[in-house]
Amino acid sequence: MPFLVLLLLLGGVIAAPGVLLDRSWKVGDKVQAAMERGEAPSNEIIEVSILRLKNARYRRGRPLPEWVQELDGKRISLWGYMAIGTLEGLSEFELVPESCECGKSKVNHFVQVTLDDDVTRFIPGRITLEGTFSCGEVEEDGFITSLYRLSTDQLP
Amino acid sequence: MNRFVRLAAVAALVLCPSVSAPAQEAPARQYSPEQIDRLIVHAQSGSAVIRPQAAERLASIGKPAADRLLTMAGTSLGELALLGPSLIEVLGRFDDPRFRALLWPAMEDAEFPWRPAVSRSLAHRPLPGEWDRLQGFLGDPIAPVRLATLDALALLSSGDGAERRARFDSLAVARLTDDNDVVRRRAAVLLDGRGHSRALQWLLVDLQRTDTYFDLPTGEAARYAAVNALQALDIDLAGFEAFLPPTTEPNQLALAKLRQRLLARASASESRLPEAARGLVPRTLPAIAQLGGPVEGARLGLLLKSCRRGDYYLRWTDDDQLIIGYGNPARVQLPEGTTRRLMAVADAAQEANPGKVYWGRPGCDMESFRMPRVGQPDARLQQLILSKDERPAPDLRPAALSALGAAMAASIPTDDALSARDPRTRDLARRVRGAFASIGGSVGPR
Repeated sequence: MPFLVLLLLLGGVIAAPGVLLDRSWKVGDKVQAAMERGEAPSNEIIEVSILRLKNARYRRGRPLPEWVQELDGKRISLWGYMAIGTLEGLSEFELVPESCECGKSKVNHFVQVTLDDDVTRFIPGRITLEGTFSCGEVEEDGFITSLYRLSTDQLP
Repeated sequence: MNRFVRLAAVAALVLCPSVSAPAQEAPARQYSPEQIDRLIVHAQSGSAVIRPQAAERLASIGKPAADRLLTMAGTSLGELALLGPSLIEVLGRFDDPRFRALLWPAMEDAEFPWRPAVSRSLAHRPLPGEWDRLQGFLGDPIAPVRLATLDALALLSSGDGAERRARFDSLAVARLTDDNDVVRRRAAVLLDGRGHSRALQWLLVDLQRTDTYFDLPTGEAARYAAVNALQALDIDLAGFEAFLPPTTEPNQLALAKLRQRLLARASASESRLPEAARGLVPRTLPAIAQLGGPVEGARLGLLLKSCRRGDYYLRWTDDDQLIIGYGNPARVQLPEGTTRRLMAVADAAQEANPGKVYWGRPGCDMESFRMPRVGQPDARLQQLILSKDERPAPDLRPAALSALGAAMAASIPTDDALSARDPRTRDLARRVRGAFASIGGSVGPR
């Protein structure tokens, strides 16, 4: 019995970092499930309006609309503007529907973009990105820090 | 058998207090002074998405947070401004008259940097005695201030007082000609709530918009806003999809059905109004709220967003028209050669700052210049952006861009040549210069 408890504790210690650090940045739950079922991911690129994402019904803790969930893990093409104040040389930035988001910044009003093979430089004006979309609340210290994410290779 | 199962289930619910009794409210969480201070730091200097969440949490804490914020807010507008917009926006939630005493001078000071947040804070629970003071802000240069004021007056007139209701209805009808489409839509929705459902025709027009300001899809944004507003009123949209162009067949069918539904709603609601209140909403939409034709050949653009002086969307076209606003913009014919001369100044501005596209630091004040790239007249327009936060930045704009700003402002005709009836063109040159001065510094007198 003590051996079993020890084994469980050891397993917990080994697994904890993976659990704690898993913020679902790369692959959405639906694609993960599809890959586990042995299904090949689709290469089809879906064009999505950032305005549609912004206006999708969202309430904290509630499921996102079905059409948003269906995009989870898919390759999408998305236009938007780099948030003003995007610093240079980073691997992440916020894509917003209007370059000056001067109202309250709501979590469903931006897409958190991760650059896999590039770093940021400020691009004024509209840009279009292709990448893998994922959605769902990412919570840090009790605050929701992102709802929509896009992983892409590089800036246009 | 099923009957017994149902009876058993009902009996179990009745007899089991933990299931059938209403859930007891969890005791309010206690926050230590250190936790409150940490939330204040998040609300002031967290990321843009965290700041409002932290402020909301502080508002839910109540008195301990209010007491701490009062000590920080101090007694001067300068100290209040240091709280930042997210905290200022929730001060009105605390129901503490000392906060209102701080907020009102900020609302009345045109130079206070966070007036939209102040106005929303005051509008959260306006006091009956504040009506006259609020009403003056329906003409404020900043659209979010007008919007919050409209909401505040709607709340104050939501009781039984017929005179106040009538006063509000007239004020809201006047806002149906506001130069900002967000304010017009809000006025329409509030009027629908008062039985003047004809105002929803304004939203029906928004559903058909396809306008853009260069690459900014202002029409598509209006379609989403109208859809959200109509859905909030529980109006069946007949399958209308904002992400599809309104000219698609499904959307055309949906619009036809929706048009009938909204007309029926307008007739039904008006029939319930007293005779004297009927016909308040005009049957014909003002030009500013109608569908606009396309804007062809826009070669230069100036977008000014000032937290103190309001927003301006200007375009200069190949055939020397000045296009003011978006949606159904105002169009002013300029002297021949105006756009060509401005483009030469724009070329000089790019050549003086090669490769540079952004000046300043993030904030809600912004100047955006659009122009053809030098030597690439057919390529996508170049965009140069200045932005600043609440701190003054008098030397932010480089000289060559100031020269372009000055030339653009000088090309705006005097009031004698513009329609005094259109709120977008009234006193436009002076207002644009004022906005320039409040963002990147003065561009000089005319």
